[in-house]
Amino acid sequence: MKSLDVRSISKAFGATQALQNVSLTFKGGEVHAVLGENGAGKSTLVSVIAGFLKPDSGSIVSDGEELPLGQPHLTRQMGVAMVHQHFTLAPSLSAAENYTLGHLTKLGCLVNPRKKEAELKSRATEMNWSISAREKASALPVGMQQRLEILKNIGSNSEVLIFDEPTAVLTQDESAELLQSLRHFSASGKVVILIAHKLSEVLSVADQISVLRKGVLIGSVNRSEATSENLAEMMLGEPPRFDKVQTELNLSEGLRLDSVSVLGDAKNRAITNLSLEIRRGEIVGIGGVDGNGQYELSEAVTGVRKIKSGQIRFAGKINPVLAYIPGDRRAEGLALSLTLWENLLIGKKRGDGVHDGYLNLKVIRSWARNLLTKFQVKALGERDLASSLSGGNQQKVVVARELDRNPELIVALNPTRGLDIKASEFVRSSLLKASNDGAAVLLISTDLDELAEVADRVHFLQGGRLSEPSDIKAMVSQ
Amino acid sequence: MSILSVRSIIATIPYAAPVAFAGLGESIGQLSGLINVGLEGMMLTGAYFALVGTTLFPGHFAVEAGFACGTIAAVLLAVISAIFTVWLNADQVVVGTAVNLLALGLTTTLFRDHYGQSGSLISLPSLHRTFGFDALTIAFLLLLPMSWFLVYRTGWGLAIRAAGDYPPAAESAGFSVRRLRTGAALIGGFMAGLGGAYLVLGTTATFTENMTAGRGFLAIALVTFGRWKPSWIALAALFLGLLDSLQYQLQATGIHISAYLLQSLPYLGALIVLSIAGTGSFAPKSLGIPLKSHE
Amino acid sequence: MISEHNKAKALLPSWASQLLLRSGLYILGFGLLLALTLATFHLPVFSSAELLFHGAFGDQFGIGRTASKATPLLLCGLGVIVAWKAGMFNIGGEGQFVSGGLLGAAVYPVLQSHHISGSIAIVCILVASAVGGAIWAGIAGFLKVRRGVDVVISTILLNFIAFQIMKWLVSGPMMEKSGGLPETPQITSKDILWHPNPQTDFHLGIAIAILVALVIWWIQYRTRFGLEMRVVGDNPTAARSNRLSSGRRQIEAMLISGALCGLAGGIEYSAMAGQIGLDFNQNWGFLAIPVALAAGLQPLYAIPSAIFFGSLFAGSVNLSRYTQSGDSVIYIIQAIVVLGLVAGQTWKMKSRRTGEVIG
Repeated sequence: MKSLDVRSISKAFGATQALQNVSLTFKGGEVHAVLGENGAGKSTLVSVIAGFLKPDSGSIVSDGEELPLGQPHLTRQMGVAMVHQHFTLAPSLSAAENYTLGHLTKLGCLVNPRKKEAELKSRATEMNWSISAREKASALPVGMQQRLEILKNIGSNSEVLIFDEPTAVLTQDESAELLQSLRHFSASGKVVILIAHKLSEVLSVADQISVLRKGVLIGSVNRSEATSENLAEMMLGEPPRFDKVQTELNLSEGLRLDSVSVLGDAKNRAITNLSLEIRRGEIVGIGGVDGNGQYELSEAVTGVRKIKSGQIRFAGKINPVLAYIPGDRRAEGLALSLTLWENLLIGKKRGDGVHDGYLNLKVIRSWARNLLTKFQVKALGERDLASSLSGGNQQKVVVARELDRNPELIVALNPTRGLDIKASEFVRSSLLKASNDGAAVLLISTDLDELAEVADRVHFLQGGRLSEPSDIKAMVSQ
Repeated sequence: MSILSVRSIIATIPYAAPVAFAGLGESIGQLSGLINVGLEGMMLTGAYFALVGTTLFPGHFAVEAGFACGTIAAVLLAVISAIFTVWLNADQVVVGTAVNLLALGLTTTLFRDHYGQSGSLISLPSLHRTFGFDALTIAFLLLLPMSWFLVYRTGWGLAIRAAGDYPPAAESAGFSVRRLRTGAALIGGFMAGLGGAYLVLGTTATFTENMTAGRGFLAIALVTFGRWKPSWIALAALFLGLLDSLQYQLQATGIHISAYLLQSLPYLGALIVLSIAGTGSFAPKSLGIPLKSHE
Repeated sequence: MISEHNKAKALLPSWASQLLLRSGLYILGFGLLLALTLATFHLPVFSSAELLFHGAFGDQFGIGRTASKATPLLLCGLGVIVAWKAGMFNIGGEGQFVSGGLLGAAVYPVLQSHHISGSIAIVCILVASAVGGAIWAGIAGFLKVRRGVDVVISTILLNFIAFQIMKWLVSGPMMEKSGGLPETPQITSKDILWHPNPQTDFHLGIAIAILVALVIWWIQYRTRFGLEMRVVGDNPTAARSNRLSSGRRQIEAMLISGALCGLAGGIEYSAMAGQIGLDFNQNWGFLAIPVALAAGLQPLYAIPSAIFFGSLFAGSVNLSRYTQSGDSVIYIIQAIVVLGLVAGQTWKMKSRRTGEVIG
């Protein structure tokens, strides 16, 4: 029987210790789940195992044989296959071509498209799947893309199969089907490693569960000993605190969504018939796994994305004063090669030195300096480039810019992802303060802890549909 | 219809071939995600060093020496270009601009230094032709199916197409996108050198300053016009050569269409094709985007 | 570096010290580069440099030459800056230069037939040329935003189309009827852009170009419109999240960029060439790209950058009189400057990179 030993692996990125002396054993015939919050080091761990990242120290042994480190191609030839969290399909190549690419042993070999199409089809049939082999990958439905991704990356000789958050973009039915196929793989004696942060999934499929927190292995438990409570405690650490003071009940009217439907980038239906109301002074949390319409919802509410049907109103108006803290500050929040004061100015219409078009720099600079101090941004000055700041400080710049305009409505998407504890606390308390000042806040987050800490009520998004409000505090502190 | 006789088509081949060579190489580079604005400079370098080769090794193998020197020089330029665009993640347009200037400056300065001011016309040995075909045009006819085969029937071709479409797709399969792109860039340089050398040894039998006169840019446009398919690119090049020769024949028959306007048709055609289809629908998705440097 | 910088700061406003420090370093580096390039081609370094310098600044003719060559370089360089800063890789400056010159030359006979001459005529010509350039670049901008056509490719194509149209016009519809040469009619001497001394090439164009540089700087760094164009270019996704209409800003940037290149063409027509012939495109639109890059895509730095490269081109006229080499050496220097800057930037980024990685 095959097994895989991870022996005291450590890996740091700059000052961040992503993995600290992690040792684990994965056995054949078992589905072994590695559980942890975002940033806990799960993806780093599996990237190291699959050879995409070279660890700073430690080794990996498979059946007494040491695996090469940092050489994905060799690792793959030794039977370690990885299915990535983000699809690695080339969108303009056909399904069969993508499959062929995944199984190329060397660049010099010839490619016979017919043969590969047939091979893909027969392997799909083995799994009871169907795949349109000649279709462009981008034209396949998401569920089929995921199956193609699996067949692309897993060879018939693969003995160790790594799945990095495979259900992130799937609907509930698709997820269930996928998890079933994990059992199918483990039943044939292979080592199956599942990266996840969803407790229910892990409990439904795993035999063995290991939990990572901040790069450290907290523990490994057998499925029979695992409950959602002890796993949650292992993942989250100390139970969260509750700061939110319930303000008076008769809050004035705020954001109102009436059966809103939104299309995603691939013209798929990302949000379906969603209705929601957020009063001023209220924080409503939206939980759930990435890719279930969170991104599209945040863009629809902020007006960045057009809605397909339904209505979004704020106290009867269309255009409230809006703050938007997007999900990826580097990609969406900031213009990194511009200075801090310029970044703080993006979207500012007038006031503080901004006149109808031209800019009074003296006034703007001192305004920017004050703002940076107020939001505790660690920078030398307002003329620093945004790219020179750390992630936490970059996020504070975004928060400063957005909250400075005294918004009536705040939309935040994973506002603390990747931040350290202090920066996260600061961002959360800023949101709380803004809501106490009368803003309606829509907080979309995959971090249950965060939702429990600041939200008044929490809904979950699953496949673009909103659940009934859940008692999040009960869920986390059970 | 005498204009489109077989003979007249064959007669245009020497004019179409330089651009066709360069365009074929450029299509492979673009499929891997590299847009080589410096193609013009690489062709010019190929042309000049073909001249150098033939004058350095006069005699039986002068033409062969010319082709060898021309392609080697162009490949060296492609190496410089690839170091910047692929390994240093520099902007491809910026580097391409610099490569063009470098080639123009180098070839002109060296030419003036070694062959006197541009006034003196040089006559060079050229390729032997039978029935309008020479060894290189025949080689081109072979290169066409070969490049198709390379791109669509080998692992390397599949991998560069993945690299140009979505680099993580190639990386996750264990192939280095940098290496793939470097290889494609070198092929592009080689073909551009061949095209430039052919311009000297097959088309004009002489060298003049800046003699490529936009043919490299034209080749880039051809790739788009030919929608990244080798055979389409070759056809487009032939079509272009035909239009070029059409103007003289039209003048002879007394039809008054400006030759200049006629010559702008292919560019206009390319622009119209692109605006109707949108580049996005055919172009490699990651064309012109430098790799994100990840550790 | 830092202490030097601070010292300079105490004496001068910070932008001035930056400008001085930067240009000082650059002049030193370029001087070395020039010497090396000259030596590589077996040219006597000192006497060649002297020839270059004399040709560029030695007398009023030299200065006039420098100014007249810096003018199109500066204007087209500014065009490159505005477009590239907005994320539009306009490499069709040459086509816009040509179409600008052409529209200017097309307007001239109309003005003449209405007996408009002197400064009013010149203003009309220059405005027309800016419009001509803007239209040409606007096509590329529109195709990019609406149809997703890559700007690099569309501007290459538009260059060729502009050249062909120019050749057609000057040898046909716009040809001077009496001459028989493929050229437009010559502007009469009173309608030529003002030359303080008609014997030199020095003309009002350089003043216009510098003024335009100041205006472009002001737009880019002192208006919300300029800020938005730069945000769109730096990070289109961020622009979208902040509900800026990136497409509109990008088209506007192309229009401005084209207008600047067209203006350069109009000035070349009305001040230097006086007519448009088959050799009207002198490649200024392309040669301006290194000018803009050497200026770090900053409008104000483009002024010294354009004057520097302009002087090299002016001096090379003198160099070619006495040696085999001429302007071709300058292309090499331009290329090395660009590659050096690119390498320098990469090095700077590598040394600054900090690891923020989410596990």
